Amino acid sequence: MPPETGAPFPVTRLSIVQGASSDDAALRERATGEIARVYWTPVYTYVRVQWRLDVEDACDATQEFFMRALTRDLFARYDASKARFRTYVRLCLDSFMANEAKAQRRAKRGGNRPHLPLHEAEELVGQYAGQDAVDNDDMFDREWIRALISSALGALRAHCAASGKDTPFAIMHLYDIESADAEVRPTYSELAQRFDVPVTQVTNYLAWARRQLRERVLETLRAHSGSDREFREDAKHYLGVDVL
Amino acid sequence: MTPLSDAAIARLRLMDDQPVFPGGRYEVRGEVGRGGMGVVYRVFDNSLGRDVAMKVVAPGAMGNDAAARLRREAQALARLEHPGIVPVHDVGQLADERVYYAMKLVRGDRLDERMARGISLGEGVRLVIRVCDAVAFAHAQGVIHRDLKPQNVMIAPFGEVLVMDWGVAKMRADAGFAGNPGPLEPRADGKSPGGVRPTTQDGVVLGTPGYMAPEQAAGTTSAIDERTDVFALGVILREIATAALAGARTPAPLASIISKATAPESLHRYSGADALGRDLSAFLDRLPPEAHRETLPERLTRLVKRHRVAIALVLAYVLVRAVMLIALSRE
Repeated sequence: MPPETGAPFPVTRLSIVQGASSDDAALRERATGEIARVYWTPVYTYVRVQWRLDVEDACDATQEFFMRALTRDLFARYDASKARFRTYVRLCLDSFMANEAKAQRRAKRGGNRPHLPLHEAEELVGQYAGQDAVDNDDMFDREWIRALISSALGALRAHCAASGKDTPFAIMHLYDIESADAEVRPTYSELAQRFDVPVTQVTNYLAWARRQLRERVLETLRAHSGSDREFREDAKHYLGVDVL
Repeated sequence: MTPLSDAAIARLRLMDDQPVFPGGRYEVRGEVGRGGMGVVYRVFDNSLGRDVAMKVVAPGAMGNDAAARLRREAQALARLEHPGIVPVHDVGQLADERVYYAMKLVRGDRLDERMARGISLGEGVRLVIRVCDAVAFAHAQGVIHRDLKPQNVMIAPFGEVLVMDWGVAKMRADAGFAGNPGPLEPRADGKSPGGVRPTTQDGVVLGTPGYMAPEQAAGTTSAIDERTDVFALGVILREIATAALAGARTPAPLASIISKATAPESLHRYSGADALGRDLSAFLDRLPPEAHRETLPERLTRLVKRHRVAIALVLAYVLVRAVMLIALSRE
């Protein structure tokens, strides 16, 4: 899991990627931290699978990459006219990995590495086991969209908990996420019984929670896009949404 | 916490597409197909305890005339009660104002899939005749399909042939549709000289390239009539002949039928799908089609093929008599 970054970064149009190149050092640091929060799992999974590092080395490399990004203002040098932001991040990561000797990383390993629960990321690494060749872009994109949606889901969970709307969230989570790999979804009647609400309310809750999640996914996508065009194209490609 | 699975990500990515039907009657079970205007889902009807197909306006198509078109399509289908046209069960609106309608869930093959697996000429022609029956019925009700193609023809397991996707159908003003919302983009005069009130202005092209008649491809909406569908049926026939004959020459009568159906000038085509169907039936029955002027050898060949059993019996009889006569004369 990525490190906590404190207060949520104020999500505004292109705020995070732009914030990473701000003249304000504090804002720059927070933006880089937010980028690290969303990108931590894709970066970790990528170095584990594509660079074949073991758990310890991959964890160190991921931490060090984001530290390097912060101290050297790596994300501030991003040029939206040349590539998508996530492509830039991956290229920076490849460059970092190519230049970084494994021995150096080991030498630096010490007590200052924060304890990170890795089992989630390791589950993702496990899905690539046995695959001969995984395309760099495909894999990074796949993990990036997973991290993006997970981040938005976390934000919605927090919002629902704070506003007393746990039931709509729980219904959506059970119907759309927990049952995604099951052969049969729970029926509306089963959901109604389980959550002690009328069937008509199940559909209302489900529609509401989906809308809310969609809005948060779009907000997160916008915040992590390098340009307006990139945002529109990704919204269309990944979410099937035409952004006006 | 467990990371989101690929299946969950796939579901959440398209989550907004998945309609939530008010009242809890319908539950989405899967996606059947999608086009530019609408998405078709397999949906379980809790009230009747059965699967149905549900067509819903695609989220990306909201904000234009897609909702009105879908509602109109449902109304047109509801009127077209024919074994070759998929029946409509229900029509309604989602909380997000997207229109949907429920129809019979047709299981089976699309015509293009059947053709890809291999089809005989006889089977292909018989299928087109069934399509002609359904389309002719729609024409009689004042509805022109405008998007006939193999992908829009379903062949159910018991041989039923159904014409699907009436989303861009055109309705004649004199068809008398109850509750017809009228033209979506009315012309200034509201009516064309042919008595057809277009729902789409001239210049707007609806249909599928490759199957569109010249007048349709040119966007001349006012010139679209029954013969526009005849053109598409002719193209389908040509594709079936190509698939079935695998490079061999198309029989001359069928080639003439295809040629007449796909004539560039609509005046030179069949007047409607019923006339095309009749000629195809004649071809199958080895009768002379209206579209084909036979040469003498062709006529003789056809007659021999058509009456080959009778001719064989007569020849056998003559042969036996001849043998008997010869035998008697030698005694």
